[in-house]
Order: sequence, then C-alpha cells, then structure tokens
Amino acid sequence: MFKTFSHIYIEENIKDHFRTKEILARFPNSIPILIRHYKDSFNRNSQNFRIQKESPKLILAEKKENFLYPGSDFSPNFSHPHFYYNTLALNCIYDCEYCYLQGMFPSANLVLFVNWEDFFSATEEFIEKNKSLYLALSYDTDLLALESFFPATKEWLKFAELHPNLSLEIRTKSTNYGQIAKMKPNPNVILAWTVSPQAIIEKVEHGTPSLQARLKSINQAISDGWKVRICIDPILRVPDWNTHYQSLADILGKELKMDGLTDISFGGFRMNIDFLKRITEVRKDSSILFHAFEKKDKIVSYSKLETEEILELMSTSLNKNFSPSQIKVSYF
Amino acid sequence: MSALFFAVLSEAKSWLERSQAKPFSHSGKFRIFKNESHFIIISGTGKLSMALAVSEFAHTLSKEERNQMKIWNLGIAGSNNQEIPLGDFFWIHKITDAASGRDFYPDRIMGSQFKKETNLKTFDKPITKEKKVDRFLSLTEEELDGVSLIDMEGSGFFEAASLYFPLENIAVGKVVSDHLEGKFCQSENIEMMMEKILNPLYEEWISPLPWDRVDPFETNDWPIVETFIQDIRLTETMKHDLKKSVRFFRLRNPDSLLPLPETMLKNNLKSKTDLKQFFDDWRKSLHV
Ligand code: SF4
Repeated sequence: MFKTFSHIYIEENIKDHFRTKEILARFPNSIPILIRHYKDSFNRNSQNFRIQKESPKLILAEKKENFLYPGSDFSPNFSHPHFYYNTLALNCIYDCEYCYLQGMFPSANLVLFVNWEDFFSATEEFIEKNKSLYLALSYDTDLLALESFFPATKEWLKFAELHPNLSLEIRTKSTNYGQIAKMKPNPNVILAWTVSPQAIIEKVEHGTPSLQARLKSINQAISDGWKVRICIDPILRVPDWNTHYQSLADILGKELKMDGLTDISFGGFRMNIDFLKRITEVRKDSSILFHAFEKKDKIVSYSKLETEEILELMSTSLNKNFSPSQIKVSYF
Repeated sequence: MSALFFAVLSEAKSWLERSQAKPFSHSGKFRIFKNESHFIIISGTGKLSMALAVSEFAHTLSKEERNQMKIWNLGIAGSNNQEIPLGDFFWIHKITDAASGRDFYPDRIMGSQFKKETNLKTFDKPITKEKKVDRFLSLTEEELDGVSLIDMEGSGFFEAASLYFPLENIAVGKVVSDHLEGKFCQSENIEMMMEKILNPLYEEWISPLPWDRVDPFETNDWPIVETFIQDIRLTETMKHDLKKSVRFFRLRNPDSLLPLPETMLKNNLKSKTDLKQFFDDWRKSLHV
C-alpha cells in the first residue's frame, strides 16, 4: 500500500473544517502547510509527475465550482441520457503505467475536496431539473481506495439511498469493499471493478491489489446483493497478451459469482494524444506507452487490425463463460 | 552537480573553505566559485540581487545541466518565535514575498538529517519587533502572525530558480540568527553559525539528485541509430517516431542486439517513396 504523506497542504479557508481535522488526525506525522488555493501548489509549472509520485503529498481543498462534468467520450455512458461525473479527489494512490492522469494533471499530489455538501447540493439541483442522473463517482481518482482516510464513498451511498433518481457507478481496483460492506445494497448503484491478468497487475498496475484479492472483494459484494460490473479495461498488448487475457476470462468464468453480475465490459488502450506525449516525456521505462499506435481525432489507440484481434479474442473467451447480453464493449 | 546561493560572504565562508571552490571566470557581475562539479554563488543582500544572481548563473548552463542540478539557497534568518534557539536550522516549505503577497512552495521530496521545517517571509528591509530602530522596519505581533522566519532573499531566490530549474531540484534552508531585536548580526557570528551546519549538510549538498539517473537508451542505443541515419534524410517527425520505436524495442528486448537495416538498403534509396518504405519496414522490425 501507499506510504503516508510527508506533507499535507491545507487551504486556509478549510483549515477548521471538521473533515479537514478528521483527515489530519489520520496523519499525525505529516507536516501541515497552509496554502491559499490548491491550484497555487497543484498547478505550478515545471513539476515532474514521476518524481513527485515517489513522495506524493496530500492537498486538502474546497471545490468552488463545477460539481458535475459531462462524461467524456473515452468512457462508456451505458446509454444513459444524463451521464456525468464529479471529482471529489484528483489523482490516485496507485501508479498504473497506462494511467491518463499522469498526462492530464501537472502534479502527482493527491487533492481531496472536503466540501462534499456542496457536491450533494449541486447533484440534488441537477436531479430536480433533469429528473435523472447517472453519475460516475470515482473519476480522475480511485475513490474507494481512499476510503480509510477519505470516506466519501460511504457518504455517497447514503446520499443515493435518499435519491432514487440517482444512479451511481463507483469504479475501483481496491479491495476496500469491507469499508462499505455494512451498507444496504442499492439497485441504483453499480460497484465496478477493473481487473487485469495477474501478470499485468504485477508489471504495470503498481501498488494495486492482486487479482485474487479483487475477486474476493467482488464476490463478497455480489453475495451481499450489490450490482457489480467487471471492467477489463484497458486491454494491453503486452507479450503473450492473448494467453493472459484468455486465461483471465477463464478465471473470471470459474471464480466469479455470476448471478449478481450486471455486465462485463472490455476496451482497448486509448488515450488523448497530448496526454500520451506528456507521459512519455517523463515515463520512459514503460513499453506499453511506446507502442506504434494509430492516431485518430487526437486519440491514440491500437491499429484496426490489432483492435479486431482483441475484439475477436475477448468475445470468444468471454462468450465461453458469460451470456452475450452481459458482455459489453466499452470503447474501441 | 550542485549550486549553492548565499547572500553574503560570511554565510559562504566555511562552505568555500570546505569545497575548495575557486573563483569561476565568467562575464557576469556576481561572484561564482567552483570546484570540479559544484558551484557557490554570492549574490549580495536583497531579493533582487539574489534573483539576478540566479538568472546570471542559470545562463552559464545548458538546459540539460540545469535539469540535473541541485540548487539551494542557505543563509541566516530572523525568527519571530522567541522559543526557537539561535543556530537552529530549518528547511523552508513555504515562502511568502511580503511585497507582492505571493506564496511559493518548495517541495520537500528528498530526505535530510535536518528534520525541522517551517515557513519564511521575505521582506525588502530588515525587520524588527522593536519600535523605531534605525534602518529597520518595525512590525507588530499582529503583522507577524503566522510568520516563522524572516529573511531578505528567499522569495527572490525561489521565484528566479523556478524559472530555470525543475521545482524538485530547488531547496531553501535557513539558520536562525536573531529574534528580530533590531540589530545587525556580526560577521563572526554568522560564520560560526554557518560552520555549525556545514559538516552534516555538505554531504547532502554534494550528493547527486536521486532521480538523476542515466538513461542507457540515450547513451547506448540512440547514438548508434543516429550514426546509422546521419546520411539519410529523415524528417524531424520521422526521427521522433523512430526514436519511440527504438525505445519500444529496447524496453521489450533488453538484452537483444538492436535491429538495424542492411547498409546496402540504405545506400539504394532513390526516391521519397523508397525512403518511406525503408523507414516503415525498419519500424515494423522494431515492433515485434
Ligand atoms: S487505479 Fe485508475 S486512477 Fe489509479 S493509477 Fe490506476 S488507472 Fe490511474
């Protein structure tokens, strides 16, 4: 797991916020530094994401606007008319080599917004106006992974109980399900786990839990009655990728409890071209980023032929174990 | 390589002796001393002088050198807190420029055997808590609320250094020299205080940045490719793409010989189409 934070930057205006105090109490050895605005620290020029990631700091801040963003084209909208996401946190405690956050944010430091109530009000207003909302809660971060010191997922689950027109998707690689296990399952909430072959987890998804540990959490959640989505995304063309993903499909087929499984989605690696450019400037040790990608509309992805191979392989191997209606292609 | 900026000679003296740095001849105005690979620069008092010295020094280096250089400012500072003993050393994690109100946040990424950290406020004049002392600016307790240390260079140093050097390479450290009594420190006292921190800090200063690792691709593989392609006309974009492909190959095949096309093929390139084909085939061979 991640180390503690050596320093915690705190916006002056929220220094007495009860949530700030709760978080600070979790890190008694961290050095607190008062700042005026999180962007003064987070958005500075010439920061090196890789170097900062070796010793990431925490930044506690107040979000003042943009409590909801329309979902991006990179992510599946699961055919919902109002697909939005929010950002309660920026950056992640894990370090996946393919993570787009490395190219999107100037800093590797983790920003946590403590004014959840403002997010709740903005969400309520939206639902009132539009009658429904599909909200991706764990965007630009892995929210559940932070639950032990930033228990936002729990609060949003409570909030969702009171708002039947709100659907939530909470995507994670963490095994922190235990933190929310006592909550009542909500049919409007999908807990989505991203899974990868163990070999890829070890090589590429640094700091994340093993496949077996994720499967354990997933099965627990299904047994408890939650709707669960499995995301095999991004699929990476590493050496022997086909063997790895085929056996992942088999493991999932064998070890997952099927009844509660909402769907299983998969997608190939893709990224905004400018993000990839920025990432490869500082992360030169990851072969997956130096693949000969195809560029289209500012997005890089695998070539048509490679994509077809992935689609073919995944459809065949997943079809062996799952019903076709469960299998979704998230992006190609 | 490391560079260390001081405001005045008395702060630098023991460091100059220890490093055996000699005057470095350059066309600028500031005093720069150098031993084999480390620099000591004396700027004179005040944030403007310090900023100019940083800028002048930065211009003596290439961008690559700057990216690998550790760059520090050490010196004395007054403390607003009576309880902090004279001679205590602090790393600075926040600098406020009193005149502009701007804040700067030096990142403390590297470990140090000096564990204490605090904030620093940089004023354009010496500061005292006493009333009306000649040449000092008098501030009240309220005006100094939340301020820990006070100097006259920190913000100038950090603002200028962050224009030229990666943020992670920059550090500021201060020794507490007074409690704002409104007296100028004697040179001998300053020398003594700086000497006290010299031994433990010197090793930290000269040690290379932990993230300054040699990229074997740049030193081994790419020069071979560059020599191979020097007599064919690849566009800059082609070179860029080729470099990525060669890196891909190396990451996937750390122990294999780099595939280079046959020299004969290279010599037979007659047209742009030939070149394109040659280039595409080569890249394909790298993405196996
Ligand atoms: S878990 Fe997700 S957000 Fe976190 S580093 Fe990996 S890809 Fe990025």
